[in-house]
Amino acid sequence: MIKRKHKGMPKKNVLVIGGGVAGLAAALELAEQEIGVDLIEKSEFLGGHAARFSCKASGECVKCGACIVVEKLKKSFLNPNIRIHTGCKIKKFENNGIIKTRVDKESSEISFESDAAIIASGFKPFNPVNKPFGYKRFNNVITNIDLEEMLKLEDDVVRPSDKRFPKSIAFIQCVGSRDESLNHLWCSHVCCGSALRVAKKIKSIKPETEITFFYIDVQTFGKDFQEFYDSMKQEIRMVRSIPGDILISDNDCPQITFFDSEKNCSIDEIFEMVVLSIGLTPGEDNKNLSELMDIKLDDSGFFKSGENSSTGIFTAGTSRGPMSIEDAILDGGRAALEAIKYIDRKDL
Amino acid sequence: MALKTLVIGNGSCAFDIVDNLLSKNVEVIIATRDNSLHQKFSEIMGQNITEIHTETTIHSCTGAIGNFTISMKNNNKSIIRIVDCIVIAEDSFRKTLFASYGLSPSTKTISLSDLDNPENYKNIADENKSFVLLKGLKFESNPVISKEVMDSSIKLASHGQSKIYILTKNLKVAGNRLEALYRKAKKAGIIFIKFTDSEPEFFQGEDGKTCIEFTDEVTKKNFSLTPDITVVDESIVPSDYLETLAKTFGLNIDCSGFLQSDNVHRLPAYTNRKGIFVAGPSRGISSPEDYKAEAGTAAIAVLNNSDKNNYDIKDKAYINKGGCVRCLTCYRICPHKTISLNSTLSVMPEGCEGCGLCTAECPKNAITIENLDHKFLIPDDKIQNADSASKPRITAFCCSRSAAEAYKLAVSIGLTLPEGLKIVEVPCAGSISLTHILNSLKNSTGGTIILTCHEGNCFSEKGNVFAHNRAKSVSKMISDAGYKKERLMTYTIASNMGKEFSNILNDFEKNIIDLE
Repeated sequence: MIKRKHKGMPKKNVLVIGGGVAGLAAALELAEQEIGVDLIEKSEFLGGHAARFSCKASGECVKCGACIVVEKLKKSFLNPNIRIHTGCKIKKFENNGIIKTRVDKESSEISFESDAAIIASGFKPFNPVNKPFGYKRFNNVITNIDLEEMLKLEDDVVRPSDKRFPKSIAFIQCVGSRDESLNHLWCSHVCCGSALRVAKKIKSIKPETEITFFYIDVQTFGKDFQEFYDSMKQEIRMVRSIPGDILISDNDCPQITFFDSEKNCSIDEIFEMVVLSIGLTPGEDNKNLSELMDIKLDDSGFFKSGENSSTGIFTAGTSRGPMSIEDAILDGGRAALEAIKYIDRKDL
Repeated sequence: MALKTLVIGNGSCAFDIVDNLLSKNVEVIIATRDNSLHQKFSEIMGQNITEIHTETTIHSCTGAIGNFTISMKNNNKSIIRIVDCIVIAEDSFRKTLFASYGLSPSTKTISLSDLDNPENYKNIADENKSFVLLKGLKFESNPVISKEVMDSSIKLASHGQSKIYILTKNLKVAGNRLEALYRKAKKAGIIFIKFTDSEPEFFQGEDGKTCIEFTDEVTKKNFSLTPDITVVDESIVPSDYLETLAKTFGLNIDCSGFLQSDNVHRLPAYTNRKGIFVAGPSRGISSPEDYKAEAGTAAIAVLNNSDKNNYDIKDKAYINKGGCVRCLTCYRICPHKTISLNSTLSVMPEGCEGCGLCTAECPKNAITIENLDHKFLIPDDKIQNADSASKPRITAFCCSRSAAEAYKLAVSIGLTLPEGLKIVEVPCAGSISLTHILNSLKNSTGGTIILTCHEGNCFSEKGNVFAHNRAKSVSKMISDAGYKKERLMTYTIASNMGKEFSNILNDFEKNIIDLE
């Protein structure tokens, strides 16, 4: 319906690496400025991790932002200035004022020339198999991403072992975050919000579900956090302790050992299902991209930001560190503007 | 012609926005209540395209994107300007929390800003030995305050102070490198005492010193601290100017009074009114580190959303002068404030989002959207087969932003849907009028279902609420008339929930079959 003024082929081009929230946000802003975008994505789908997340509303929106990704996807498919290349792997990258990139797509090779590049290669969800929580060994220990996918794809919450709605669920926070033993000295920003919003949804589906939330510190999220948090404290049990380990009990029920500070002793408690809130860790391509594109990583392994304006390579989104969908959208916009300013400066 | 933008604000976020806009040759007018501009602005003073109005408040705003007429007041002098867009980036305020702890400010009990003030800092650090910093004990805090408390503590420790305690409930570390800062603070010898359900008690002596008593949650032992200095944390609140600006511009605010309603469709820099943007400390609690992203996003929003001619008039509401009785219903309910109030009422099409709330609500049926009427009359039959003798015919009114997307998702992944399903995609559920619902009930052999966005997720703010209320009143009417009210149902759904869409529709079909 929208009358788009035909302005001809874009004269400038930007390479966006990664089709997640930040990459899509950046690509859309650039395309609106009549800049051609080559959006390359290594998987077959756009949308990144956020595309797997479920809506957490129970009649009332809880502002998780998962639905916004759909809108961004739709707009980027419709925008003629965005050329989408999925299933791509970067082979070669040269930056001599003009950025030359060569990628492998299936069995063929594609080359691009770009005036600037934005790295929005995202994060890697922490793999909890080596934590003593029995992930992948016990059926009913799942991650928050598994739970989100279950809600989205099945529209239901069930125990993997017997496809029954669990009577009791434990959420364990900070799995792979704030963990000195792993040298993960960061908070993943989004897990408290994700877990508590899902917990609220589960309570609204089946109010009799007993939910326990194991945490270190509850992080602030959303505009009405105080109210949300106060109401959740009434609905679920909050235990300020991170469990030691999980064993398996009868009927595939995980048994959690944790320190109860009120009773001042260690306690074993059985739950029907356990959800591990896994953290955001540096993307698996960060090291490779960092070497290929000559962009430094910080000591945690995320990309350093704001240091690359002279080379025309910018970083955005969770490639720089954990952030929410909202923050990734903002950061994509910022990176797009920086790239535009860089191109303008270069033209002078 | 250069784009003209009014920027309201005088802090570093406002500066970054102005700087970004100037670099893209946007003509900028700055308006601030303050009597002088922040020193940062001196860097760009030389650029003659900037017009600056200090000691100036906004008096009124009429018009729409591309043609806002702004009337400003400067010492009773009136200034009128016409601009394309407006960006609001007023700095937030700090509110001290002494009262919530039952304390009074004194030389020994000070606020976080007092401690951070460079003029006082050296004296405070030199003359005192023990410090307690309170953080988020009465209200949930945020990463911005958390960072300041930890930074100040580390500074005191590096000044040679060794007795520093931070008393906190939830330690907020969901900010850039705050966990690392927390570890650094602990290494510097700062003692963190965390509270969960209990709270310390505070007593203030004649000398202004605060005595803090508490039971440690881990050891269960009682402690009493009387530090030389007690530092009370602060909360971040919107500038008092925002309330006035919200009224002047007709903008929605959130529960704390920031200038962006709590609605994901307003992300990142949008308001309910086209062409008016909001950033950083006017949008919510944000740290100065985030201002670059906030300002960049706001600037690019201006650049990308200022094309006032980029629309199809058939998507916009039109008031039929003959039918209008000036009841002002449309003026009152328009979520985008784009009804112009002159001798006759008219819709300013540049600002109209085509949601259709006014078309459904107008008691005289005097407002139309050409493309919308067309959609209602000829539902899209191409995607789903319409008539099937054995299955009930179901009409589903779907909001284009949520339910229609969920429907497409369900189709794309091959989920089962009722055979007799007819989708009527509407721009917003708020455009579904009583007539539409009654007509649909009349024409459907099975039933009618209205699928809207979840509450708080409507692009038109309350369109979904209008739809639900309307359906409720029809439901009562039809059940009074002896018609089964189960034939008209309403649900809320999000765009990314294909399976849920399929479940809702299949359950609805089953219930309809059971009725027969």
